Amino acid sequence: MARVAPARRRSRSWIFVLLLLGAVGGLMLAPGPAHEVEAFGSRLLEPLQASVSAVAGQAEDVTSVVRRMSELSRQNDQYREEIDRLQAEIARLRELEVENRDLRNLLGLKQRAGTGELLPVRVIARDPSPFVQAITLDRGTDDGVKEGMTIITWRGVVGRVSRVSPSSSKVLLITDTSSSISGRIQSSESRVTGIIRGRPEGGLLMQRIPQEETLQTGETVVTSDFGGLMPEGLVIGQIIQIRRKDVDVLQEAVIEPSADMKRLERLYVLLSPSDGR
Amino acid sequence: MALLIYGAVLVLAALAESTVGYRLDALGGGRVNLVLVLVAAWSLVRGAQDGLAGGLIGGLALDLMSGTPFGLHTVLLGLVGWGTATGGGTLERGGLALLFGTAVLTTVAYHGVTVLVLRVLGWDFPGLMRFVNVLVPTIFLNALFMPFAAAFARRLDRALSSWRRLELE
Repeated sequence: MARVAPARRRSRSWIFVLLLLGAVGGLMLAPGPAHEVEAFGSRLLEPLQASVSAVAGQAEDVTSVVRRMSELSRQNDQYREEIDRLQAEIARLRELEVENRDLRNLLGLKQRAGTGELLPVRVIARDPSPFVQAITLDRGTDDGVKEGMTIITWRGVVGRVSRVSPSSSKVLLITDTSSSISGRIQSSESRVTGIIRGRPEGGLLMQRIPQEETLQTGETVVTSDFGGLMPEGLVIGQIIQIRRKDVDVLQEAVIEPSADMKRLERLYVLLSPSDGR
Repeated sequence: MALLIYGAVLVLAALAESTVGYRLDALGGGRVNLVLVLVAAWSLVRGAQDGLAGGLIGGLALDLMSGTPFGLHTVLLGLVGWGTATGGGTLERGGLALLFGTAVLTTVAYHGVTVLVLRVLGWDFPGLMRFVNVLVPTIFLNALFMPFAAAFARRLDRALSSWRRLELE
């Protein structure tokens, strides 16, 4: 193939440029054909533009989402950490609230119960017999526990130590049918006393209350130092039912114990002089 | 050897009874008497002498964990261990009927005598309704547990017997 000389090639380029300028100039001078050419070109390019634009838009969306995702993930981690921290704080505050209430009640209890010390104890077992309401505690004579000492929670009296060994002690609950303590109705004007025993069907029964005494349900019953078994003024429970017959000399009151005997926790041995220490 | 192993099982059962048993109270306070049933099953498998020994061990373990006068469970379960084999024969001669019958009779006798002895010792009777309400579900639970206890006792007895044979050879 014959080679085109550079001078001829340059002159052809110039001719092409001049023709293009002439065409453009002609189209500028004649708006009608120019519009036709523009419309044709647009129709030809529009699908491509749309496709590319869509792909580009999606790509931008994806990068934006990816960028936002990492940001959201970071924010999410921050919020999660914050939530965990706040939840831990709430749990700690609740625990403090319970402890505070417990201590306030114990303080009141201690003021009422006298000068005795409170020894925290834990229930390690219950009596295997379903007919005996007794528990075993994790402290014994090594910690100063003695027979006859009173066991309390901040809600009220639980029972008395019936047997004690060096490292553990058995407690007969006040709800046992063999338990018998002296109690006093706190809110009654006469402050009448009676004997409180465990009921076979659960709960407590206050007996030997004179018929002429007026009792009301909801009244609080506390321990009486009559007999010297327990210190005065420890909460036993509330009256939920009064049993009286006109023909009887005495009446009885059914009492709901304040301490939950099925779920005994935060127990204390009252190491007070009145327990014979 | 067999008694030692079964004794350890009885002590564990007593521990479970006093720490977990009360949490599983069913229908008004009834609960399975693990030690009682295991002692009765052991007695049926091994005879009166081993039954008596098992009852004494199980009873002693219960006495250590109970608030009732010390020795009550030891004596009662010793009697149950001895009496079950003497009165009920051996497991080879009876099937499920023997197991259920044993569970019912030993439960009634054990709880009935416990309450009576406590009454004699100055404790208050829990009341007939309370007694029945606790006893009926307890009988049911003990009867349910009895076949498993008997199977365990028999398997342990066989395992120990074959081990002893191997030792003699």
